[in-house]
Amino acid sequence: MTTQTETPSSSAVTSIEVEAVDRALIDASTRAPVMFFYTTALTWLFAATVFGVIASLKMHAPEFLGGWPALTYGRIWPAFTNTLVYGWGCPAAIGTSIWLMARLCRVALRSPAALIIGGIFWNIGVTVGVISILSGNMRPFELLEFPRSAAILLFIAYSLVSVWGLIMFNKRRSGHIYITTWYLLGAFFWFPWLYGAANVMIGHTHGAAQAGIAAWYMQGLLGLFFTSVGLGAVYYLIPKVLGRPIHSYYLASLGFWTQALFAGWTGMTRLTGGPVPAWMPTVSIAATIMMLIPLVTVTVNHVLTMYGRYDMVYYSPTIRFTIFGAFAWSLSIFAAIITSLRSVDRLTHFTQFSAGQFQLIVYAFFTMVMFGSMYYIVPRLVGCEWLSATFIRVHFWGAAYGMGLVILMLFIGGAAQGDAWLDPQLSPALVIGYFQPYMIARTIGWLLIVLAHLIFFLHFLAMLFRLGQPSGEPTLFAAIEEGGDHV
Amino acid sequence: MKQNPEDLRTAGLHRGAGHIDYRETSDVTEVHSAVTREKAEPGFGSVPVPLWLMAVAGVAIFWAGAYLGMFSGGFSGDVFNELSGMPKTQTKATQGGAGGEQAKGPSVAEEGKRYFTQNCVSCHQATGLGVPGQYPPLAKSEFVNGGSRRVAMILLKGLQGPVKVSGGQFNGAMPAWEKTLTDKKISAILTYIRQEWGNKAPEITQDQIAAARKEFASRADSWTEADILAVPADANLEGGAPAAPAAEKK
Repeated sequence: MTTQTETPSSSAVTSIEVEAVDRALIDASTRAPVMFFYTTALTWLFAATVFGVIASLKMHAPEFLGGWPALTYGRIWPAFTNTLVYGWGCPAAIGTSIWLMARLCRVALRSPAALIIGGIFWNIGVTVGVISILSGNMRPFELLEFPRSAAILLFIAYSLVSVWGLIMFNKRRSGHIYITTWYLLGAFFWFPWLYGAANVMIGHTHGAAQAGIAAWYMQGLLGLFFTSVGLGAVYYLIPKVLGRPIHSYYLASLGFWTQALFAGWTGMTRLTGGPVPAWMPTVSIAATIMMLIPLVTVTVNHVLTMYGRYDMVYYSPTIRFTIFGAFAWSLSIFAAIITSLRSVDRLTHFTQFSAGQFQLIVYAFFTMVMFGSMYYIVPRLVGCEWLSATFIRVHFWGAAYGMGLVILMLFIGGAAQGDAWLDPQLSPALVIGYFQPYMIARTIGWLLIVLAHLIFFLHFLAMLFRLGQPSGEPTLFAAIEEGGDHV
Repeated sequence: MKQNPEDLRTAGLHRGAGHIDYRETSDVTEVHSAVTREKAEPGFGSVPVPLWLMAVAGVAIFWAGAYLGMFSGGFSGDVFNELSGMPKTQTKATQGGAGGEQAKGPSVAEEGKRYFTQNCVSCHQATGLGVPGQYPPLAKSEFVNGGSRRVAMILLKGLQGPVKVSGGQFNGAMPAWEKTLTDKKISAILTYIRQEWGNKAPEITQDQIAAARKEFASRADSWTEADILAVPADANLEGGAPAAPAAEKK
């Protein structure tokens, strides 16, 4: 381990120091847009948390807040998913992408105004969309509920970010293109493609075709966009904090291309048993089976990069969150493969199991990786360190146990529900009653998440107002004997 | 590589002291200690893809391919049940066989059963018994077992309003199928329902249906019970098979 913290006092400086100054300038240039996206993202995450709790409560106590039409389950659930995805997920992804792009292209960001304008458009779009959903004015497709006006705003806003990302890539300083850059470039193309195509086509088709487009879009958003940004961040943060290279270039490359090739085909698994020709789900199931290749490749790469250094989860908040997310991704793909098979799908389809899979990808994988990125990035932008390791600890355990409980209850409860639905002797009322205990446990999980998010939100605000610890030592869970950076 | 970082520092700050943020000094390295303590940017190891991973990829390709082959429904736009074989491949196999093997293809009644399952089964049920009070039975029905004329009329144009079938009273709407189904499918369905569930009426050919379609072309609305009863019970369509012997009628 080299100790780079000690600066030689001579006037001639080492290349390492020059590089560090260079990095500091690049980081500083991304401050305004990244912090803007992060702050709005976390505000929406808080809204999503509140919607999530209400939606969870509605499953076992529908009379709770029953007098408010805006808070009925039919509106609050799409409000939750859309706020989570478009309010929190995408801006957090954009913030992390900006920072990673600037770093990896080794170019200081020239005109942050375009990005901030994009961010403002985006947030206006999300606000319009969420208010429309709560007032009952929504389109009947999962994750495409936002009315057209909001969708256009989101598309314009993200296109600005995409164009900016491509310009950045064009101006990059020479050197090899790191795997994270591939994923981020993919994400810059995939989101406008998915969102634009889905919105245009859904307005020009009818019936089963619309359901097909919505399914393709949703799976593409999770499997191409969120997965790309999430895995891109994982591929940067783990080796960066450990100070060792990615295990294998070839595995990373294979994982990226197979993901890019097959993930877009998996959407029709959402329509198995629906009114579409049998070959459509079959093709998607075959593509989901092929996801076995990126699953194994990427997981092996992460595992072997971490090999021998798993103790880092005791010290580094970044590593703890990121590794949690990386393994949640592996689990989500594994679950997707198993449940796509018609024999299993028969049990899990049209049950809460699907809600569990959605939250496994968007929350347990993507959100946790974004938290890890924020723990790494924010101190470099605001110039002070996280206030308290205890806050970070509470955040992690609240989020991990909370979402773990939520997903477990949705999985077990969903399977039990599916089993009961398949028995024609049981009346629907009986099945719903049978499902209640799982839903109550899920609400308990949500309360843990509320606690975690509240702590993190306050912690982030403290950082935003530079109330953190003065620069110098990173905020770790426990002191490390050896030198170097582990945040 | 030795280089004076002074240029870089001033490059970042040349916009003037007014740009220095709260709590920030002009010394970049001091402020961004998080950056200076960082490890080098990550790189790649170059461990080759292990052989066993190739095996995993092989398993995935084999599994996915087998799944695709078994449940693709022949990639046909009108096959909705993944287990219902591959009609196109079947036909090809039959044609590819030696001459005179045609009999191995699906018989008219088998084809009729398939079209019946696709179009009629949701109301009249696989048992042909219908749903009491809602959808009339086909099994032992006097309309199905009688002459071919009445039943063909009903299938082509539909039937509206109250009707008495096998002693039960029904009041619904049988849709007209002339626009949806071809002559071949209609004749296959009629032949099937006239010979299944204990029904024993003669088959109806494609040509008969084609003729009937022309004959009733001017009729726009569905029939009513009175229209159907106006046709003699044992009246047959023109051409084709001879009338059913009276003994076989109920």
